[in-house]
Amino acid sequence: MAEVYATPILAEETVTVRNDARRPAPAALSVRRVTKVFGSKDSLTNALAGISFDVAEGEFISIMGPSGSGKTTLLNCVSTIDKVTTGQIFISGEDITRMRKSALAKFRRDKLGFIFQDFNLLDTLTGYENIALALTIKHVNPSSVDTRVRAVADVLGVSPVLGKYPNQMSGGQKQRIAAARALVADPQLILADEPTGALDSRSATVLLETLEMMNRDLGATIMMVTHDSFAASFSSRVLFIKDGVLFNEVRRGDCTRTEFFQRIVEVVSFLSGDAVPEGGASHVV
Amino acid sequence: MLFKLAWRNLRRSVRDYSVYFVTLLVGVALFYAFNSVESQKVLFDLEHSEWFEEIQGMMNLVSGLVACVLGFLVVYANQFLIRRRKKEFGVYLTLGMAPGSVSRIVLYETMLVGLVSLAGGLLLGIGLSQGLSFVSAAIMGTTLTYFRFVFSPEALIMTVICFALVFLVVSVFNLVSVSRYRLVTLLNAGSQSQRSPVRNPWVCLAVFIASLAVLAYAYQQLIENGLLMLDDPSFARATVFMLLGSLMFFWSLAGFAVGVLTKARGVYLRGLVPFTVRQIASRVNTAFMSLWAVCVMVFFAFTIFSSGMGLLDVLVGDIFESNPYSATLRADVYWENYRDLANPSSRTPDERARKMQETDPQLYAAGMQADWQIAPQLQQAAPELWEQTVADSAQLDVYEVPGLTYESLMDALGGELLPMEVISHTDTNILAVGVTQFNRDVQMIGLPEVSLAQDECIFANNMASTQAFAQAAVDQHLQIDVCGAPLRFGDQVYRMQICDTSMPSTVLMLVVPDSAIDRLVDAGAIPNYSYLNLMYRDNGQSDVQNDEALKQILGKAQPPTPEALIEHGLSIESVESGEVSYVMEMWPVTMVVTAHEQITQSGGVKLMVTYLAIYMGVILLIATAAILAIQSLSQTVDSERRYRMLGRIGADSGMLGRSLFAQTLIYFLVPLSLAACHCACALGVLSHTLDTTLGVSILGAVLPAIELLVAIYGLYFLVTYFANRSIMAQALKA
Ligand SMILES: Nc1ncnc2c1ncn2[C@@H]1O[C@H](COP(=O)(O)OP(=O)(O)O)[C@@H](O)[C@H]1O
Ligand SMILES: [Mg+2]
Repeated sequence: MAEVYATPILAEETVTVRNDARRPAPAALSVRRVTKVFGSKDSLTNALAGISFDVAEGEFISIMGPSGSGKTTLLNCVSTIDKVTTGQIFISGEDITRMRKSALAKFRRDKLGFIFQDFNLLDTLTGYENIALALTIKHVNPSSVDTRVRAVADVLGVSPVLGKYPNQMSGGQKQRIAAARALVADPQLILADEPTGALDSRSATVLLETLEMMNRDLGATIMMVTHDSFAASFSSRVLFIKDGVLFNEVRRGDCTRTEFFQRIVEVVSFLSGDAVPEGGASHVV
Repeated sequence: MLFKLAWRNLRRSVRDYSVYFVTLLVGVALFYAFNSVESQKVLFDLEHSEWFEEIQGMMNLVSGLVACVLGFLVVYANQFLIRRRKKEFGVYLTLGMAPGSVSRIVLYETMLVGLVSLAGGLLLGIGLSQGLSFVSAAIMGTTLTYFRFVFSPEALIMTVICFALVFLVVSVFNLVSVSRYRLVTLLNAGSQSQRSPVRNPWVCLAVFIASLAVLAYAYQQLIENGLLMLDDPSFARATVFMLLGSLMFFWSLAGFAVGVLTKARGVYLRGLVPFTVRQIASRVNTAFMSLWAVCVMVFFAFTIFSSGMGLLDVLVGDIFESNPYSATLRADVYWENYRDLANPSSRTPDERARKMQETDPQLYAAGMQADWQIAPQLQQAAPELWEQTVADSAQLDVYEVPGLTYESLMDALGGELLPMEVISHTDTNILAVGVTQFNRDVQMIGLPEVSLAQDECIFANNMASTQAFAQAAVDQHLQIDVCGAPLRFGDQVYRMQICDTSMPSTVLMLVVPDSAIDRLVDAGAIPNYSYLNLMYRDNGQSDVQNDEALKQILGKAQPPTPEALIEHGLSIESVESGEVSYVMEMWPVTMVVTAHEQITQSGGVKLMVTYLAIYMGVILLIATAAILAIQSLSQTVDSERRYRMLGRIGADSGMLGRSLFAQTLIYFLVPLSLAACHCACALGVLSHTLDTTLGVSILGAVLPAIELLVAIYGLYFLVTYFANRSIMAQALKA
């Protein structure tokens, strides 16, 4: 139990990632003392107050925290959609906080994959085209687009709905199409913001198993924001943030998912002052 | 406070307002410019300004229609703006602003835009009407001797009243729609995405192929039957099939194109192509009726504009060539009845003379004594005035050649060379003039003289549709018989205008050796009619003054005496008012046509038709372009979420901008392309029909029509594209 309350070991030393001889490969993601301040002169919100952590390649981490703790802000900063106020974020060694706007778009399509709570599929495009878009905007050769889309759809079990439009699909199917889109371009990092938020529990489980499989079998690095302990229990590590700072982290290690879930629930209830954790108790495993 | 807010809103959403603003601006400008046409008459020193009044009357009539079209456009464009800003209004309401205040903000905004565009439009319109006066001058065949600023308060008042009404309607409309909104729907306005119908690709394929077949059939009907016979059932059938085929085309186009494109992976799976194609397809599927209407309207506007302008050229095109003389006096010698005038068909040379001796022996005697010469009669009546006014004159006595009918020539030449529209009765006799008189006449207007051998004749002709006939007579060395003497056609057709009139109208006039005319006269023939062509002296007087002098001469020669007035059923008042200054007699003067009158009149006709065509054409084009523009903008607004999403997964703004460009361009081009096909077919047929019957090419009018279309659609396309971009940029920022 002691581990639960331990302060996480933070990589406080100034990292000049490329020169660091102790690390053969850079982390997939390094967040360094990132702050994000919203608002005008009168009312400032420190959505992120100096947060630092690393995600290794091939990791599946969850970010948890109470509502308003800065999860989405963190994800937006990592996904280059939002700018940090201070601090640095390295993705495969590149400092994205220094990139220009035009370079960021290219960076997003080349290095990142996205899964959103509300799917964010294009309603005028079929499932196939939605997945293919992640490749075509990278100017992938049209002939290999088809092969790759079908392959990924096969793996994620959405081949039957490839020809359908989003409004002809169930929520679970939509989200797996979105997962396929995130995965198909072989990104360095897949970012998921509450991917199960709009799904019923059965579809949510299927999706989480899919993400787990993507991570385990296909080697995808995934960072998922969630406030659902059950969802978090599918990952290999959970970071807890509160008021914009890292509060705790829990590693799955060798324990089963059920055990891992129990430990997450404990931290969540500790975080929320013994109150019923947000969404956490709704799942009985 | 609210006013300031409204002003800030306006400045912030300038791009959103751009289509609305441009439409209003151009609408107001056109409205003012065309309503101020009458004020141009001061520029031309026109005593006879009836034409301007008539044009003004037509303009007023058309302006009513135009005001309705513009009113509709303004309401339509405004509806888009309200829809675009639903969410903003929702925010005002949540912030605790009273619904009445929100309505007031909207009202102020409408008023501001209205005032700015009204003022701007009027300025533009005043400039435009100055420009139009140069166009008028060119059309009237005169040059503006001096530049003067014309301003029409009537047009100004009319424009202000019309647009004030339009804005009133818009304001009421806005107030009603804003007050009807519920807060929830306003706040959620951004998140709802429209659904477009998805059609079965196989059905689309079938309908698309069917539509092509229907259109091909319509084209074939048109090409086979031509366009001129409007009451022809096959023409009606072609029109119905064209409309139906176009509708089917737009209904199935998107489904068909997507079906084909998705199969062509190499083309389809590149960049944002799938997104772009689907965007266009969904737009086309939802709005196929509008596209159809736009296509049909552009087609009609274009066809009517170019054929109207083409026909105009036939009617008044060669007005200077048609009026080479200062004036033409025509003397009819003897009418058996009115029909006889058009159809001389005496069987013997002396038939008319005999009849005239019976019915009007006095005139016959006077004419014979004067040898039917007109000029001496006038000269005697007013020697000084004649001397001052007339420099030169030439008389042409036109005789019929008994037994030599158009029909007999046609038979001899073999084939249907004469269009029935021109010569309605082929059994009438051909007309002839003597070569000496003819030479005297052409020499007066600076044309080369003709020398004829004793057994030779030629046709004088300048009407296009009878040219082939005249040429055939030359080519076949046709031989004819005039009063027992054989004549052979010489090797030319002489192009000249025989009298002042509104269009080239020398129709197969036979020019024969004097001996041939002498034989006719010896056999007792009198002229059917005579022309006395005059050239005014270069006496420092204006054309109008010389025309007036001519009338005075005629007044002396054929005074409106009480007896003459009674005989002709004229009133004393008409003489007192100056309407009648002489009495039309049979001989010496039956009718007067002056070049100045003709040119002003035809200029008037041309001005009217041109202005109406431009006015209606431009308004139709603006209406259609504005509809396309607003639909395109609406789609971009409805697609904000899609752009945001594309931006998130890494589509950069360059890619999105190109997609937007393609979407806007193709959406504008789709209805235009089909309309272009229709126009090409219709104009091809039309130009062929007109070419063969009237010898007119309408292709000259097609170019200005295309320029107009490109200018207006180009303007709207650019405005729409940039407005679309700014909507997208805002969406990406959010
Ligand atoms: N665009 C914004 N402007 C102002 N404040 C914001 C904005 N986005 C988030 N915040 C604030 O930052 C804090 C963190 O928000 P967020 O990252 O959305 O939390 P979470 O996703 O964990 O619920 C909250 O206090 C929120 O009010
Ligand atoms: Mg959140």
